Amino acid sequence: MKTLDYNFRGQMEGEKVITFSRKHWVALLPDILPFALFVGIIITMFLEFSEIKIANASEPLFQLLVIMSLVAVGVVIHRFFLHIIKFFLSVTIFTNYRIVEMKKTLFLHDIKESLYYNEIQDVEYEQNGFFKNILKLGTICITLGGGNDSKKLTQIPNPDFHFRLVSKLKSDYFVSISKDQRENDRQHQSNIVSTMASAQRGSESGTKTVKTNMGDYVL
Amino acid sequence: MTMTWITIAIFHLLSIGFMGGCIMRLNRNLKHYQLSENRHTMLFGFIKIEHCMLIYIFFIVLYTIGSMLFINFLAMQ
Repeated sequence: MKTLDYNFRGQMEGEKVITFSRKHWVALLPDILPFALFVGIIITMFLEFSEIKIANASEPLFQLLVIMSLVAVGVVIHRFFLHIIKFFLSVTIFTNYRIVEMKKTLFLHDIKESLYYNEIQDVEYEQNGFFKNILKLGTICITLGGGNDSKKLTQIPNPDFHFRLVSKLKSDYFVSISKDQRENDRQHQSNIVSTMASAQRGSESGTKTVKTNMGDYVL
Repeated sequence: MTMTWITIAIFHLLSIGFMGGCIMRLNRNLKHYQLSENRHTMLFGFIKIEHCMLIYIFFIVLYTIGSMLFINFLAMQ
């Protein structure tokens, strides 16, 4: 299968991205709240800088402590922004053929899972709880055919929209498949008719066998 | 105090280098794969990844300057 790699790596020829989704920003709250608290403490310390009196700043143990605390502050800042980048890079893409879930970080992880619409048996969504309803986030549970396997897309924003989207894309996919099938059948039928016609013309001129892509017709 | 200065300077070089590497890698990723954002995909409905990158640069610069000032303050004590 030829790939385009226009919107994402592994995009197939004729595959159109309908929409994409990230996790709700609530998923980042466990990172944002401690970081905000941390920044608040740092700013307060900085403002009270002149009040601090240090007995002996040249002591090696104290200097080691300073270095370690500064390194720790740097690590916390980088870690927080790496989590933000992970939030932005991890997306769920809904195309006309499939659902692609990408879990990606800058350096460590690159996981892609795709779910074709013909594998989907049932779709349901949950939006339970006061905050989930207020903030419009929920879980989409996709049951796969031929087993008890299911795929959960958690902390999806606007789950009602995504639920309706998946249902519509699934039905559109089957409509397009049956349309293609009908088109193929029609093509096949017209091939046979034209083959028969040419065979008849051939038999009038004495030819007995006609080679077609469907097989040899001996008349 | 000289040793502290050198150690912190090396750490800041590493830190700024790491941030540069992250931004370059992310930029390459964003250029390759284009997805049209909407308010449901942005952070809090309005923050794009480019804004986050600017805040990242701002924080690292602030951190570098702040820690240098802090060490300078300690050296003067």
